[in-house]
Parts: sequence; structure tokens; C-alpha cells
Amino acid sequence: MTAEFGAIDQAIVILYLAGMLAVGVLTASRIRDFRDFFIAGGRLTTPLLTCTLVSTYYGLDVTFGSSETAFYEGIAAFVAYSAPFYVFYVAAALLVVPRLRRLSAISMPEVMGDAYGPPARAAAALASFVYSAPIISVAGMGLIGATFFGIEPWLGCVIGASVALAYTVLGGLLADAMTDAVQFVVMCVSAALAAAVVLVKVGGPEAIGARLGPETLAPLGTLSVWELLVFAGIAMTPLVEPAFYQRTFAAAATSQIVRALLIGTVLWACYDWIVVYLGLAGRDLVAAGRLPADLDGSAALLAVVAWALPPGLIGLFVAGCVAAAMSTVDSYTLIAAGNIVYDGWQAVTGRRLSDRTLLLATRLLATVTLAAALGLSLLFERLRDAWIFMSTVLLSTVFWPLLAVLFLPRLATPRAGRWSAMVGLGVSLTLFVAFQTLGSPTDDDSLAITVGVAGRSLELAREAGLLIALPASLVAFAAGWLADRRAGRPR
Amino acid sequence: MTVATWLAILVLGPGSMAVFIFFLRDLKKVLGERRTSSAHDSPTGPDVK
Repeated sequence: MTAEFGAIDQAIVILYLAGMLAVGVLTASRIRDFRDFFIAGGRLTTPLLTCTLVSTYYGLDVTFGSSETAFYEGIAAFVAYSAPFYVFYVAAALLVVPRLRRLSAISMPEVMGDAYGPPARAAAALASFVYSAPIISVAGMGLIGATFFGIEPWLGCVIGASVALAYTVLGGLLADAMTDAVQFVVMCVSAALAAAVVLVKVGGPEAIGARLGPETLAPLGTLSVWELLVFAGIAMTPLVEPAFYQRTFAAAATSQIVRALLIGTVLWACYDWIVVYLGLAGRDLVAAGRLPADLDGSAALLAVVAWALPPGLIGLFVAGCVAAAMSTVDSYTLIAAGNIVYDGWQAVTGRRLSDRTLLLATRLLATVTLAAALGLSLLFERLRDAWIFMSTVLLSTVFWPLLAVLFLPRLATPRAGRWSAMVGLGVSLTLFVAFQTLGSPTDDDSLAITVGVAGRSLELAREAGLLIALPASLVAFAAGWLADRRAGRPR
Repeated sequence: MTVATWLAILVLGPGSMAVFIFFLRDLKKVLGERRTSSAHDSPTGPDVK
């Protein structure tokens, strides 16, 4: 594909990277303390919040992951995987945000700590770190570098991550959000342009369905009940999403963040539909012999675009992919580093750090976060599996305790939150290690363990970890609440 | 579904540019002076409008 990617395309991508660095330098002078750095001084308005929410939450995991799922499963990628999220985006906007704005925290783990104490805050910080480590987007930048610039994947990772790191370290959330605004337009417009060209050349989903067979357009495809349950569970992530919480606290007013989430939901749905359509088109082009028969699902989107777009537009699309990756890398690197320093360190040591130390340590830890993300990215064959693992750790640790704080504060007793967070984190991480060490490879590049239940053997896939860890966390929450009640220590 | 695809293209392309234009209009406010008391830490609760 490097042959079609000419000098104009490369110049567009390089110009884009230079522009992002310039924004970082310009906003750096606005940072006076940790509050400025981590929540942009609480002055973000609806348009900027929309841009930063949409581009941050949708990175290469969605861009390549949804198109990959559509390549294998058809339109079910949208109906079963993407659509359940919209219910929870709206629930987050209308139910979670107004309640969060009544609290005095600036991060999700701090909400946990205020309600349940330092151990719960530390567990939430660790879960948020695992969730926020930008594994997929860092790996994706390596893929883009190798595909379009002909450089080694590790070098692509290092260059892309370094630029994102530079402006984030300089300007914190403000630089992050400002660059997100540019990245938002580039990723949305480039995806829309690519879809328009492919639509004209290949035809709509109906035409593709007629060529590939009706199962391509079946709403639930060939997905099993277990997979559908996991997808539905993962869709609850927006209710406890660290980036949503950070932006909620960074908003100038409650109405601004509510509007941003509602506008974002429409834009996310459109983006999902387009990448799913492009994944479908990839499968159609493979069947027609226009793309290689051994094309991997994760590379389908790039292959379709390189096949369909003229020079110049390919550069714009690649800049869009880099934008999607960088807007995720910068935001989640900031959150992961901030959570460990502001929440984890302060909770474990019981010492309050000065603004200067917080700023310095967060900036230093951002580099460590990116290195950890790169290492973790090597453990997953399928992008979707990495996303499910990260969401499983987050949901299992904080889902029940946070819902209790927001909706049933009478149940939010110290032991309930602490036990739930500890058990959820412990079970999800233990399951992950068990699958990595004891699991056998499955047909779809995952890992599974076979267990005997009532004389029958049951194959448990790695992605089903959520269905064990989340109920375990709920049981621990109930046990902790009962223990506090017996000890006569209601909140 | 083809109609839905064209609709998604329209919302995502021109729609995202419209949001960006509104962001540029707000830029002065965003880069202006820091809020003295943020919405969520007000002692009287959130400033729901």
C-alpha cells in the first residue's frame, strides 16, 4: 500500500503532526496548577466537550475493531456491539452527570475514595490505569506507520506516541481537548469522505448483502448468546468511564456536558455505522478478488480505503486514523498517569502531594504509561479482545460501588465499596492471568479454558471473564454492606 | 440501509464541521480567565441551567 501513498499524502500527515505540537506549546502557558492541568480549570464548553468526548472515546479500537467485527460478523457489529452503547451514553448524560456534578471530586477514583476510603480509591486508580492504558491506539499507530510510511511498527508507535506525549505533557487536558477538536474534524470528515467514495464504487449494504448472502445483514449475525451478553455488559462502561468523569468535572456547567454527550451520541452512531459499512465493503472486495484472500479483518478498513481513494484523500484518511489514535492516546495517557499519582499514590501513602509535585510526577508517569501500553498491546491477537479485557477490569472494580454512590447512597457503606472493588479487581486480573497461562487457542484467535460442570465440559472463552467478575463484585458488595450493617456502621 | 449510510455521511461530515465552527466561536471563552469556583465544587450544589 505504500506505493499508492505518495509525497502529498505523507506531507499531509507530517503537517498534521507539527500542528498538534504547536497547539501543545501554545496552551502550555495556561497551566498554573494541577487543576488547570487535569481538568482544564473547569472551563470547557459544549462544542469543545463534544469534540474531545467523541474523538477520545472513539480511537483505533472502534475504527479498526468495529470494521474488523463487521468484516467477520456483518451488520451485527453495529446492532449487537455498537447500538447497546447508545442507551448508556444517554443514561450517562441524563442520570449520571447531574449526580456527579454535585460531588467535589475531579477524578473517578476520587469519587470512590470519598465514599469508601483510600483502599477503594487505590483499587479504582489501578483499574482505571489498566482501562486507560492506550494499548490499541499505540499499536494502531505502529500499523499505520508500517502500512503507509514503510517504517518498522515499533518506530511508528514511538513517533506517534511521542508527539501525543509532548503536547499532553506540556498543556494537560486543555492541550488535549484543543488538539482533540482538530482531530475530531479530521477523523469525522475523512471517514465520511471515504464512506461516500466506497458507497459509489461498491454499492450500499443491501447490494453487498445480495452478493455475500443474507447472513451478512442478519442483525445478530452468527454471534453466540455468551458473546451478546458480554457485548451488552461492556456497553455499560460509559456509566463509569474515567474520561467521561474527567470531562464532566472539566465542564463549565452541567448543561454543557449533558448537551455534549447527547450530541456525541448521534455522532458516535454515525461513525459506528460508517466503519461497520467499510468493514462490510472489505469482505465484499475480498470475495470479489479485488483485495487479497488472506486479508486480516483488522486491516480491512485500511485496505478498502487504499483501494478506493485517490492520492491526497488517502493522506487525509490516514491523518484521520492518526487523529483517532492520538486523541485517544493523549487523553487516556493523561488519565492513567493522573490516576496513579493523584489517586493511587495519595491513597496508598496517605500523604497529600503539593501541586508542583503532582504536576511533575504526572508528567513523568505519562511516559511510563505509554511504555506499559506498548507492552500490553503485544498480548492480544484481536483488537476487540483487548478492549473487552480493559472494560472487564474497570467494570468489575467500580461499577457497583459507583452506582451505589450515585443512585443508592444509603447502600454505599465503606466495606461494601472496598470489598466490591477488591474482589472485582482481583477476580478480573486473576482470570486474565489464568487464561494467558492455562488457556488454549480458539478458532477466532482468542483463548479458552475447558471446565467440567455437572459432568459436562464447558468451554469458557477469555472474553466471558466479565460474566464471572461482575457478579462476584456484586456479591462482595452485598457481603460488605451486610457486614457494615451488622457492625452497626451504616453510612 | 443505503439511505442510512448517506445520512450518516451527511451528519458526520458537515455536522462535525458545524461543531468545530462553534468551538472556534467559543475559543476566547475557553482560553480566558480560569473559573474562580467550578460548577461541581460550589457549596450550593451544581449549576444546572
